[in-house]
Amino acid sequence: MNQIIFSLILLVLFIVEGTTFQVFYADLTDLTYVMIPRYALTFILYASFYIGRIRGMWYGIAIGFLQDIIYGDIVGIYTFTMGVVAYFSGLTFKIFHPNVLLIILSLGASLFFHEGIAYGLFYLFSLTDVGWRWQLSNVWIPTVLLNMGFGILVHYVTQRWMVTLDGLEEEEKSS
Amino acid sequence: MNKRLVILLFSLITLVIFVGITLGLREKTTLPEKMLLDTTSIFQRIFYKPASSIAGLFQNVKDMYSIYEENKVLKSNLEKFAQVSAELNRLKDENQRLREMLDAKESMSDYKLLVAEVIARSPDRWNNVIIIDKGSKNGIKKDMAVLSPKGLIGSVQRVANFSSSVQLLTDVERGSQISVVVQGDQSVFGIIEGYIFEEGLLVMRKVPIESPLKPGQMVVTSGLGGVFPPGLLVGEVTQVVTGDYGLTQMAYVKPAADFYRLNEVFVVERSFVVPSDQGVQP
Repeated sequence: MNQIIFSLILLVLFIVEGTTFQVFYADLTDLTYVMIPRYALTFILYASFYIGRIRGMWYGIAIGFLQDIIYGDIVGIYTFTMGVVAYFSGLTFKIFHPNVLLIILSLGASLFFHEGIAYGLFYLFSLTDVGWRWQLSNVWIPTVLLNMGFGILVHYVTQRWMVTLDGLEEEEKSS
Repeated sequence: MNKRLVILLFSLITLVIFVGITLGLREKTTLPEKMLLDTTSIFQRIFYKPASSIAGLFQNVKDMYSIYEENKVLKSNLEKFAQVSAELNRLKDENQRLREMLDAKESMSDYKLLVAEVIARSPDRWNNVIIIDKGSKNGIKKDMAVLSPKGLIGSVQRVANFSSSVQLLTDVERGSQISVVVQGDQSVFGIIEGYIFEEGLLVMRKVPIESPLKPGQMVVTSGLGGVFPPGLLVGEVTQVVTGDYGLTQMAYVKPAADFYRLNEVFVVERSFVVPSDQGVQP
């Protein structure tokens, strides 16, 4: 049951990324800084701390695949990056104890890492020729800040629910 | 530990293969893809409508501040308008007459506009894609030009039954290039084949060095290549520089359309659309 609700929330967040945010964004800012909403990914990363890295990775792959099919014409880039980042952010849970500050910080680090490899892959396949300096100051940092804000929000709303999500124990046992 | 390394390596190889396969522009939209696009578009519609109406409210408040100034400018423009429209009518008549003399029945610039609403757009900036609420059931085909009220914004990339995705001009180097003509005393032909993200300017290359080109001139599609009909406004020349090896000129073009505020777009329906692979040849 919990898994179904979790998947539904992810799908809603994914839809919201492409629809509502873009509308308000153009009206509220002067567009020099680009914030990419990655709500679904942020939620996966956050959940990945609690439900285990393997399941987090599968959720990441699923959402990344959707992103690739619907908005892009190259299949595989987001499928890969989102899966990898969810896996590694689940790994940090083993090192850190679940402390609010540490969770938010490692969330930020994971988001930064994700933007980095996504940009790297697009650059590698020469699908973008934006310089990395501009990308860093005008896209990466605003994006990470926006999604960390969302992460903090999510943390306060769902923390109790996350702990009760089944799967954490299984994951601990199996690894 | 070793097993994990093997898995990671394996997934990297799979990634490269997948990207490699899909890197070339995919010609056909497959059935599962269509189904996915259609299903998500239903939900995107549900979310986009209320959001855009609320955002419209913000915009209205913002607009109130600038209305007075705008009104003054518009009034002065209106005086010019009467003259321009008289001129336009005269030219239309003349065009008609000349066409009859040439016995040309069908004009290249015959097209119908189909109104579509934007229901989503890609959150990242590498895939500049918007999704509109009209699909093949409404008569939309691949490679049709898409306009905003201000100017050309892109072309249809993939078509599902009830929705389709539009690739914006900002992705121009990945899609087809656009053959354009710069209006002036003497028409100058060129090709738009790039976009500078940092400054938001289109790049026009391959203009002969002796062609007169100066900032402020209007750039419209030329209709060569058959993908876009002629005469669609693309933008305005802002800067002219010498191109590669000093043999050609290069111009930066500021797009007329605002790619960030798109609610309603027009799809240009043409009777004949040439597939993009035989499209613009420089």
